Amino acid sequence: MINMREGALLLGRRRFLYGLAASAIFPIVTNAAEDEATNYRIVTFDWGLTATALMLGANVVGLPSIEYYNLTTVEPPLPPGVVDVGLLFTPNFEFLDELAPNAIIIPPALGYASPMLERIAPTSMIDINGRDEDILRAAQIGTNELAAKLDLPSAATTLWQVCQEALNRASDQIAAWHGHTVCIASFADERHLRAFGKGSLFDQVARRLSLRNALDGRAMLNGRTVIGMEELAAIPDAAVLLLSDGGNESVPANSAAGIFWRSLPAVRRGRVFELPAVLEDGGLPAAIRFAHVVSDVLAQRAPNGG
Amino acid sequence: MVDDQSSAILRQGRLLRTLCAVVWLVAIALALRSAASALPPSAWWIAIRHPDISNMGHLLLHYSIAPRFVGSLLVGAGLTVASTLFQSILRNPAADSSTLGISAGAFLALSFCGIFIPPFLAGQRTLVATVGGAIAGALVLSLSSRSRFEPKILLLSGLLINLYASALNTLLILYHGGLIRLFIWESGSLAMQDWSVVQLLLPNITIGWFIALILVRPLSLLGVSDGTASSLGLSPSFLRWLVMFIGIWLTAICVAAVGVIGFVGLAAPEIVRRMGYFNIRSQLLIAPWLGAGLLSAADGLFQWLPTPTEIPAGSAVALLGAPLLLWIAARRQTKIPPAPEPYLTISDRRMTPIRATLLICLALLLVLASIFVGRGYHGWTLGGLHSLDATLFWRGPRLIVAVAGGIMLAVSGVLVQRLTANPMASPELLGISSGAALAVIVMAIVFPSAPQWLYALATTGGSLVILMLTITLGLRHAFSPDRVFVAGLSIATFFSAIISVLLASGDPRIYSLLNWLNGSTFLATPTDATLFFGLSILAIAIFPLVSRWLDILPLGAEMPRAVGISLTGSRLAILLLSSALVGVSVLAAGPLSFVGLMGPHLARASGARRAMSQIVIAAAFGGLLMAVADFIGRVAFVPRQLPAGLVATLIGGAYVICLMRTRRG
Repeated sequence: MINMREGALLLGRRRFLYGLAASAIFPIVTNAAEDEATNYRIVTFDWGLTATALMLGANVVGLPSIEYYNLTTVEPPLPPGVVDVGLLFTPNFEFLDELAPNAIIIPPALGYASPMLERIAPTSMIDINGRDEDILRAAQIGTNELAAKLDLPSAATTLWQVCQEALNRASDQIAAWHGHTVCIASFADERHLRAFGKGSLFDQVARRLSLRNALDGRAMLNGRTVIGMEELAAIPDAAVLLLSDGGNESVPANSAAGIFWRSLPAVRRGRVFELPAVLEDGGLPAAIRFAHVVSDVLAQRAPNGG
Repeated sequence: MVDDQSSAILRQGRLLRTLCAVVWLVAIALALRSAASALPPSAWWIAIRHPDISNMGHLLLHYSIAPRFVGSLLVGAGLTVASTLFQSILRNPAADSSTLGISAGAFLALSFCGIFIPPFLAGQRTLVATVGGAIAGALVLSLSSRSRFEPKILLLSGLLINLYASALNTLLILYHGGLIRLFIWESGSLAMQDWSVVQLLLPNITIGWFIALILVRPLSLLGVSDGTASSLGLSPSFLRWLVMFIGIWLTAICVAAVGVIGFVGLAAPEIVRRMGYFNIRSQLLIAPWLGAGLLSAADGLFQWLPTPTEIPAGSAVALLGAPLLLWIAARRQTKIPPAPEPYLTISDRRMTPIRATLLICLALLLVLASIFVGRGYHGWTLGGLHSLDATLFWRGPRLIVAVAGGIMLAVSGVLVQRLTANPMASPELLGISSGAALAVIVMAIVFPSAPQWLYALATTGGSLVILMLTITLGLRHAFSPDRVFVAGLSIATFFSAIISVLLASGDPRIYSLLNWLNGSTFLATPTDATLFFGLSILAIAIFPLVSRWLDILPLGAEMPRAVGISLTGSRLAILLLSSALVGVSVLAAGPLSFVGLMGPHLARASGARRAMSQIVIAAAFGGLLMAVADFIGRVAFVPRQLPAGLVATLIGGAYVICLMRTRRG
């Protein structure tokens, strides 16, 4: 069963901390042409796109499921007055009509609604994830396209530089961990984990931070795979980076208290690091956030043992 | 229940014992296979007694495989005891925790508390589930009490409550923003990770079974007659309530522990009966053992299958159980003859053409006015959107598609009711729309990007397939309404089971179907609107041709022959027309909305008697109902939208439940 209360409490503490850091970590990269940006109102139908657009300085006036954004994407924080336009796959056309944005940005998955959305505003499809392994590059390309559509081309370059700086800074912060093995995962159900590997944003950022992925060489589907908890026992030296589901706990919270989890060598030796929620396919903002949370958490401990 | 001493059936004790032994052997063998895949046999004993917590294999065996095996036995036994009790009290071999809607009620209560009062739920799952199951059980019983719990009516009421509880559950999920995992849990999973579930089940089920055994003697007396029982100092109604409560409580425990697992209680008691053991004592002593073994074997079998994700036990068992239901219900001869409710006259009012026209005009006005009412992110708006063009585009097509779907469903409802001379018959409850919906699902999986007309062809094909099935079943009886009815019930049940399995498989294509399954009209385009509306007008226009048949058929089997109408031929033609209508309407408004039941009933209640007038009035009511549903779906939970079909189910279902409470008899 879903236990939202516990998830929310967990996130509350971290959200506060990260909220404080947000303004430093997530500068709005452009304040030039502010008037024009404010007048060009857009609706983005994807949380990764929303985060990217906000960091580029765009005026996002609507997105789906604000609650979900606050739980899973978190950064950058939404400006006040943003309108919730429905669930991700059932946009509320009437709200959109009332909002009358200048442009609508959709991810590839929402292509089928494009004809309907065109009636409200010019609709552009932007993909910040791509298909092959270099996700950061795909995110950069997508961000450039988005910036071009929003008429903020220099903002994209600046954002890319901010991202590079964030990755370098994070890497320096955890110099002691260079070369060590990690496993990046989140709970799938009581006995399984979803692990991230080659082809996922998280894996690429981790490698950029000079960390090794314990699941290198495993077959992945879109950079993800499901592993049984017992497989973690087979890689006792890896530090486990456990991502939170963001209060959208589809797994009973007590699975973390369950016997299988507690008996894992990594858990018993305290080598499991809990991370707050980061959006899986969230583009450059997610890369920045992931680098930041990982380096913060790992810098607090020495990598004793392997 | 037929007492065994009066029948010439030999008790096949040996066969039964062999069957039990075989089933248990299979269950144990499968469990051992699981154990062997985790740990070599030499380590089993140590793993059970003192598991080494650094050894995953030990942990798997001790905390997952072993409790799962024991748990499946306990759940199987508990559900069988509950169902045996229900079957004894209600004298209906098809009564079971799931067919009576009790499991669905228990689960709904758990969902509700899980979403709104989670802390309360954490400590009181059994209590919450028992309350939910009791409410559902009470509803089902009160719906069928006036017809003295006639088996078909009981099954129908159970199906009704099941469908309504499922719709309420979907509403909860949509309101909460969509939690897919809840669907999976609803299918009932026996996966465990410690012994806590077994610790819950073991004492309660043992006690429940024990109490049931104590009540065997009073129950047997009750089986003779109420008079015998009360003359011996027993209060029949008190006993019935007590036994029902025990059954509900046992069901609630199982649902709280592992989720909804249905049909387990159907198989074992029926097998025991067919081996010649009719009395309640034998059933309560023998059937739970068989039921325990069956569920454990089934669970072991499905665990063994190489599917990408585990098929939960609940869905797996339901797939097997629905055909079983059909087999049981179809072959039984009921002792209580069905009380023929006079179909044609239930109202003293008369529907004149003037009143009909007024009604239709009023409906049209309301529908048109509703286009201008809406709810934006600043609140209610009464003038439409920023331009008339926008208002008509965003609100028009979906409204028209909904109305068209309602019209077609209502008309097909009239056809089916006249055909079966049964006021409770409707395309949804007879499984015709389920057949069409299954076709959509197959298409979505196999040809996801097929054009609309291909889908339409598929759904009509789906309806026809169900039709053919019912024809085959009914051919010997010249499409006797009874056979059609029972077959349809089983198919509708089977369909829900398939949906659960598909949802549990986690296939992402299924989620995109969810909107349609719930009857969402929000992506309707003007082209769709024109098409569907045209079809619905065509539907009404065709019927003057067959209205004579429709007038004669409900009068009984002899009347058509007397007037020179071929009974088989006319029934077949009506069935074909009805299937085509349902097939198309399913594409518009989803498979379930109770409109096919409500429309015709409202028509009769307002005095329309002849077939043609019933068709027109039912169409008006059906269209109006879907229009209201579309409107509510548009404004109720902004910015989220409720599918029109779901809202219609909630409204229509409530209406039908109230109707059954007041009118049956």
